[in-house]
Amino acid sequence: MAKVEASLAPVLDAEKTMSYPKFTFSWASDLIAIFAFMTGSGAIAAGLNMVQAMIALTIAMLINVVLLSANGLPGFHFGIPMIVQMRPCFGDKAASYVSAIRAIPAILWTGYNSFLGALGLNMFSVILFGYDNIWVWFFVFHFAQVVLSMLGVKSILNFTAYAAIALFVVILIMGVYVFYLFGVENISSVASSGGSWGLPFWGVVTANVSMGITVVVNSSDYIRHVDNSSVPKYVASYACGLIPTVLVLSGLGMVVYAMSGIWSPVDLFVKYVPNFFIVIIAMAFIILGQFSTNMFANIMPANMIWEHIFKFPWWFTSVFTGCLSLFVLPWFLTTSNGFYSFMNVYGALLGPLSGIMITDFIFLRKQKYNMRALYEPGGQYSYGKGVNQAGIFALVAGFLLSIIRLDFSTIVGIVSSAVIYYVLYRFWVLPKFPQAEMAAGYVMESPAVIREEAEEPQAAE
Amino acid sequence: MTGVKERVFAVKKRIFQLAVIFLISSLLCCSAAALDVQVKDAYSTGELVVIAVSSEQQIDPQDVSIQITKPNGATVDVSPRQERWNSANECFETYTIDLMGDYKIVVKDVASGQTAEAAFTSRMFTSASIIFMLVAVGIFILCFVFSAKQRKKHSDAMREGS
Repeated sequence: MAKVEASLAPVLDAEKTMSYPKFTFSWASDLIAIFAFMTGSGAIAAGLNMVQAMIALTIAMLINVVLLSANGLPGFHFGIPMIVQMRPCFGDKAASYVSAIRAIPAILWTGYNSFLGALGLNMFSVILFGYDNIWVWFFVFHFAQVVLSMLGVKSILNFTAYAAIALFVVILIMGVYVFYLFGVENISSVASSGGSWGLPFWGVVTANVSMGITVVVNSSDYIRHVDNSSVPKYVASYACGLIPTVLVLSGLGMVVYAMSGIWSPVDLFVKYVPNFFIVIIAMAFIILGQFSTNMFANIMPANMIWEHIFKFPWWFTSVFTGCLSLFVLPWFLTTSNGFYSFMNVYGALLGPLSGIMITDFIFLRKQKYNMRALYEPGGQYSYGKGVNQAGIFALVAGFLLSIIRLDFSTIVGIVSSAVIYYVLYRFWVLPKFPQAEMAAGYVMESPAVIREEAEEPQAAE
Repeated sequence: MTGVKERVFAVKKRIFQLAVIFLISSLLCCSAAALDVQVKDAYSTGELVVIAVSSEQQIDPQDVSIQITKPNGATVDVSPRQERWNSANECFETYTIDLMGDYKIVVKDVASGQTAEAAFTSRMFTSASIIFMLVAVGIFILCFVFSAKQRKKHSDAMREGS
């Protein structure tokens, strides 16, 4: 068997040292950022009342928990990363290129989030000290993230977990202040008036499923470092990290928007609160929130892809992602409607990608792999020329079907590509390329056999 | 001679009167232009614009209104604020650019009835953003060269080891 890249080798059970609570906090901090407030205010702006918006967001997050848990199972059971998980679905050669699909939105969002954070810091700097220089703040903010991400995947996960605890304290203070500012009675009086249970309601559900689809694709990358003793605990840690966080943040966004017409509590504080302490709290929110979201959901997945495709050392992948995310002109992205249109169309690629990966592992292979073949060039998962045609056809077909109705693109993409992939693989690819793990009585090898072939054990971590 | 003296005196008196009128009118003109608004000439799109309003007299931000006309003709009305770093005759407001093109700002002080105007352009690139990008390119090249050297060293060491 060929040498295995250290960063792609499976994480063994003994090395899965991250606890479920820490994992839960990491996910929570991924979601704590300025955009989370906007999901709430966006739901109100879409025509829902607060009660309907909360129900729509709960449904969306439940769907995201199911998708994340399902697509993270290979990482959970066998400690393999997304790139390796893609090999049976798209072929061992094509998987490297398909994985780059995940890197593109990661780069765009990294630059976008950094510039948003720098804008917030610059605004506070103007208000507190009269110092105005967005470029200095942007450089400092972005550079700090790149340096932190150089420390490796585990450091990123640890940072985000601890940041979440601090962020919850900040949100609690913000929440108390918002309720004090507007009054509980005033807020409850507008909570259930007006709204719609029709198309706007389901539009909000699908929009919020779409927002989570980028991290669904590489959910194995996160879970492979976590203790894998219990599936219910694994699913619960996703649910506890996602659902309460989104509801609390969106709830705050909704209240502020419904009462003042302002999209985010941070903006509310900047505009109307003449209180140094509250401004500092809002500033801490921006720094920690944007940092943890960017490193967890954007920089880390992109780095892992560059490490594999270009064989860069980990520290350089951070510089590479950091510089690429500046070359996309983030200051233009924050003002361009074209960016949102592009992300909508791009979401139509990520939905099918998730649908294919989930179908492949759960419904076709019944949660088993031929471990050696996963790491063997030209082996069972090369399908002759390194391309699984069923995966590529299903991806293209799912994408084309999704863009017919962009509002519901993610859901359409997941379902359509899953069905197409299942049928094509079962009746077209499988007869030509029989799969060992799909034969009756197959006993899987331990992932440890792969680690024995790895260059250096988890050098990138 | 007396007539000449009288005429000279009359001319001097007239000159003095004109000078006084000029002085008063200049003072009046100055006070009419006392309200001032400062912005940079050009910003990169998406940047934060600090609209600095100043006056020769004390200024109450509640009396001041700022109207921003966007490149598409839409207008945004905002009211300024004063912070500790402002003097009594200064106030400011921040505005985040969301479109490319020419913006116009009109500031009115209701108390004195004075107005002031300023304009700026929002572009894809300004000298600041170009310098920023050049620094990023420089860092990228330096890190790339360093990484390539390190990888070469590593592969040489591996070859010697084997």
